[in-house]
Amino acid sequence: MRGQRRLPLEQIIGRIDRRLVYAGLFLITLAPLVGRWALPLYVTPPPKMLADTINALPQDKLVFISSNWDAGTQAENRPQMTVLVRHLIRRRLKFASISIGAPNAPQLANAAIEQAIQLEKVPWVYGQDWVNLGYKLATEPWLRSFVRQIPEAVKEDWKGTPVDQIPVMRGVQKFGPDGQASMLIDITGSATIDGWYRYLSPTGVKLGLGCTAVMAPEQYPFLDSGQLSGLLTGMKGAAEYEQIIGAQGFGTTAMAGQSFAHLYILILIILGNLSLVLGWLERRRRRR
Amino acid sequence: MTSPFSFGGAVIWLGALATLALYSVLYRENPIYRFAEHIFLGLATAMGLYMTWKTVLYPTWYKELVAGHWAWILTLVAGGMYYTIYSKRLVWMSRLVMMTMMGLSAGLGFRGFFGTYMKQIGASFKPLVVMQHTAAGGVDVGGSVFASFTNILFLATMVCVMTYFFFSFEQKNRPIRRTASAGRWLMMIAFGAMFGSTVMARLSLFIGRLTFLFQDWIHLIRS
Repeated sequence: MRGQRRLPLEQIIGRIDRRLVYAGLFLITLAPLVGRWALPLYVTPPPKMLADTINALPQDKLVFISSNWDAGTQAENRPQMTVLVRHLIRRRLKFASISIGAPNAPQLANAAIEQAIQLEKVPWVYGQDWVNLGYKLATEPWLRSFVRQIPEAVKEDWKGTPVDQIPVMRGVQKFGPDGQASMLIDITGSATIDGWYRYLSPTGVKLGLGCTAVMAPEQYPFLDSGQLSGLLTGMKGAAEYEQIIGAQGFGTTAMAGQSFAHLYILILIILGNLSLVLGWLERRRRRR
Repeated sequence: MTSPFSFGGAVIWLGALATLALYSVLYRENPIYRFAEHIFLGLATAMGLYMTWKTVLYPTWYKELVAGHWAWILTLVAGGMYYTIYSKRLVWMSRLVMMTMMGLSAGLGFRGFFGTYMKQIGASFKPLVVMQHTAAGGVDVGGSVFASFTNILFLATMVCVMTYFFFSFEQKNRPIRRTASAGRWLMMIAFGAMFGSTVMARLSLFIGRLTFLFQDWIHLIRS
């Protein structure tokens, strides 16, 4: 309209409706998922370390998966759980799932394990090859007891079957070189790994971690000190692990959406800062 | 789109509608969002109570009690003593259990500290000159330089950050002030990395919801 003053660029950027920003994020994230656009993904050392550790495990010993995630962090932890179980099955390593972080974690862990078995298309039988030991209230005395004598801390599986009647748990007494359990992998959306650092780490048992991306930066010192044998960082960690074992899954598909969303956020950050800088330059020009 | 006229379908529809109701707050605050929020809080509280009974109190306390181990009743007495905090006359009883729990926690915490951090203290002693070798037995110059640089950077960061947190004297000395300032900058870089990870985590959760809506509900994303 004639006579109406045009807004300067910095004000136009500054006045973008936040709902438009959300709508943009929604479309940018959804498009790669619908179109199945794939972006190249490279594998970083921490997931490779975890895969190498699992590859070196003896087949006559049990692996414990401490599954401590619930619906809130499902998008990050479930693909980690699925891909790790797939790797264990490929290596014919029997495993036991146990939850100490969330009471509803055993149900979700069970669904993820059954999905992994279905994807691997092998007869992996409950009770003989794997077991779900359910939720245990992990007080400090319980953790100490579990690390020293597993049967003292775990009496039954999540359906109430006594562990001495479950073939895969027969003879499993303790962790370590002279024990029957070779490793524990904590897949978690909370701080459950701290308990394992306190009690399991001093025994020298291999400890792996799959955690949410929020938690990951704090875990790198533990990787550096050798207390962790490998680390999966959120959905990206799951995607990298899928690449390592050659089993495409949810992680790989979702990473394209993740990368496009990051790009979008970077553009928004640049625009936001551009608006501030232009405004500052304009105010300085007026003062002169 | 999934049919709502089966048990599985109805569950997916409920999940999808709840997701949309909660995301509606992005447009503006509205009664549908409030309704969904209150239902979620009510469900989460009820489920928390039920799971506490089913997975904690029933197997570890009630089952033992009805099996004849009467001493477990004492835990109820000890738990009840916490509530005397509301009575001025009986408040000393709550202090008894609190003191016991604090003593227990302090003892266990002390042991836990060693289990968690002793290895890290050991791992912080790194060689400043690293010699890496190739498979053929020669010196890997590039690898050695990079590994040495990483260790020197680690040491410098550790010294700077520890100086920043050294509060026993005022940081008037210029080199110490500069070192502490460098420590603050280095921590800022670490916080930036942490925040980046947080953004990645939140987007992962968003992608999880999108996948549920557009794969499980309206089948727009192929599985």
